[in-house]
Amino acid sequence: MRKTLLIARREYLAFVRTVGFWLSIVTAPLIFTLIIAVPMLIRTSAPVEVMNVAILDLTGADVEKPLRRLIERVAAPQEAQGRDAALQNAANAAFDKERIKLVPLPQGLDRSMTVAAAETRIPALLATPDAQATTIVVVSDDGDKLHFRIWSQPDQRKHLEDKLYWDLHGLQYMKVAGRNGIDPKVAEDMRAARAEIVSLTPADGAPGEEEDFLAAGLRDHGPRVVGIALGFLTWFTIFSSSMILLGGVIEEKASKVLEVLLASASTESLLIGKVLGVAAVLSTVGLIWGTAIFALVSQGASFMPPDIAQTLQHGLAGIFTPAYVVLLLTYFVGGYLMFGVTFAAIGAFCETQKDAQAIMGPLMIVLMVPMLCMQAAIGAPSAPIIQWLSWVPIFTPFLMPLRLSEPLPAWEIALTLGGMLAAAFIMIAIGRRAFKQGALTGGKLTWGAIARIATRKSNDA
Amino acid sequence: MAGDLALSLDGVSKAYGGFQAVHDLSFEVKKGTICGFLGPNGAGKTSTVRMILGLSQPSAGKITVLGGNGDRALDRIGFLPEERGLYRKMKAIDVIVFLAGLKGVKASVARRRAKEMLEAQGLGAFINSPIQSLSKGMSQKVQLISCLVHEPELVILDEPFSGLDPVNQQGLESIIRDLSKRGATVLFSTHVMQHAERLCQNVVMLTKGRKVFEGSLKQARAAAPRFLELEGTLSQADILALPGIKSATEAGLSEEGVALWHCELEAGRSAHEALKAAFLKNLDVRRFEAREPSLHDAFIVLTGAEHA
Repeated sequence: MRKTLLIARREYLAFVRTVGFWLSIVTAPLIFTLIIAVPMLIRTSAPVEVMNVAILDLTGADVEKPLRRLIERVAAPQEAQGRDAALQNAANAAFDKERIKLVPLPQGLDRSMTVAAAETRIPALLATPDAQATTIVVVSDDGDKLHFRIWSQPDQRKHLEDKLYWDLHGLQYMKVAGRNGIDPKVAEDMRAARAEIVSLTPADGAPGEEEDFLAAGLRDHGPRVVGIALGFLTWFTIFSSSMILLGGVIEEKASKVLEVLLASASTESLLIGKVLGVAAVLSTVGLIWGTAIFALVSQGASFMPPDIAQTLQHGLAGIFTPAYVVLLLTYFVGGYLMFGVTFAAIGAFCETQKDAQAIMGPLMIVLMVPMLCMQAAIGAPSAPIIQWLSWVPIFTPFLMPLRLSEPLPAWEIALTLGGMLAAAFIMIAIGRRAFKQGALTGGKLTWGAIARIATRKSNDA
Repeated sequence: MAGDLALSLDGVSKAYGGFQAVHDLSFEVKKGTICGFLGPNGAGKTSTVRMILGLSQPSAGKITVLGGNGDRALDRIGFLPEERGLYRKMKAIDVIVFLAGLKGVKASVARRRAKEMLEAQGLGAFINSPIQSLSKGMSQKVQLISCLVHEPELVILDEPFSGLDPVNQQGLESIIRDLSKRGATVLFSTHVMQHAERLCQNVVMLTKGRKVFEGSLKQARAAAPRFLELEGTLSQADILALPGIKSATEAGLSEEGVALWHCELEAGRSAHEALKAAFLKNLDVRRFEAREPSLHDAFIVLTGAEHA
């Protein structure tokens, strides 16, 4: 054990004493933050864009009047009310940068002209550098249908349509209602009438309780989202740590240190020491990033309305129960042991990364299977393939975090854990032999050699 | 007496698939002695050393190291492998302390010893230098110190002189002698017979995985023929007619421009006998030299027949 810890300590210090390690600690989250923050910053720092809208009503039925009302309604973001009002208003202020201003018709357009005549003039009017109107709505009526032809400068194309799409259809609705002798008030009430539609799950409260969108969302989708996120995180962590182990062993093999180490410590001490050392490096990274994230989230939460912060806190506490965390860690440790030992054993046969590529190719294809499953799980979380593959021990560590988001029978958890730990035990036993053989020979690793190592009874090199 | 032995191999064989690397090898090394482990490339020396260290298991036979198995006695063994290497980015002293730690030496003790040994080897100024900044000779010294810092009872050196300049080779010879004086047992493999000749009490010679000799230097030399070198205007027939001469080979011309003959003596015959006959026959012998066989000659004879 003493030797194992010494080796782990050396591995750990070899990484954390490098400038590159601390640079990567800082740069990785920095780059991640920049990827998210820069587009947001560009969006929030963008100036408010004003759409100057002129209406050319050629219907003769004064459609302009209700149209003006509609445009005035969407001219600026409305003040939100209710539980999420503060959040909504802050989001509007940050991201909704479009304002609409109604302007008089430009010179050269009037209600007496035909649509064709108007539309021969509009392009030139919009192209004028100091054009007063940036969008011109030409409204006409063929007796059966209202036509809204929205001309705009290229950067405002479809902006007004997006904002008024259903309202413009509403004007057509009102026209048809009027033509059929329906009282406009009745028609408006009919158009505005909505049934109450509520989606419920067994976890929802009793009838009459106030619906909390955030709490319900966290409760219904939180575990699944967290499961998928943790599945990806497990994959990336195991993959990157295994690559660290592989690189470390390749370096030792190339610098001829492995034989000296094997003459001083058992293969088990060496292998487990390395795995522990890299695990300690990962823990350091996790601790630093975790603390930073916790601090940022705590700071962020202090800016949130207290009820939202409280809902978030309760929601996350409901997901990360102690049992859930313990199971996640167990699956992670099993996966890390399986793949870490395998990659270290491969490294023992290689003096360069290029040597490793030949054997890594098929292994990477195998590793991509759970990755593809996790991507599929975003759209179809209950896909049977995910359930089936979660029983394959080498995929269990990646897919079980997904499945744990749903209630699972204890026997299923126990069996997947047992299968994974048995596979880890076998892979460690084979990896130990392979590591020793690779460290002491100059031969290349082939799948045939792996089969021979796996089936050999003695533990000699 | 088994208690006097640092190392004992009894009928050890090692096969890698169909290839027999070591075949029925038996030899013993007494405690406190220096033993040369000699053999041409591919003789099975490294395979044997790895079995002694417990890095690989023999296919047959038994190995006893310091009274037990090699892998159980690792902390009492110092090993310098043929392919040397250290952590290139670590400081010299840190490497030594780390490897000493693996041998069970406390960090404080290892640090003190490492400092003393580095200074004794003229590396005092490089204690805190990373290995990658040291010359090849310097890093070899650091590796040797790493192998000795835990004061091992048995030291196994695989080709320890390769890559060292003559001055450092001499320094290494002194270290090996000091180890023996301290009571440690040294087993070292080498191709350079002069080192073995100067250092060893006993040698084990190996070729193609088989032991061809085990014994003292004197016994090894006795296995090789003695030679008589003659210079003069001589014919091969004249020389072969002399008593005790087994063969005669012309070895070029001397500085005076006369023929130089390299003559092999028959076993048990003396050069004196042949020379006396040559003078009685009034042969033109201008210079003669009786040469005792070296370990190199013994090595060629003992390993060459099977090596050829």
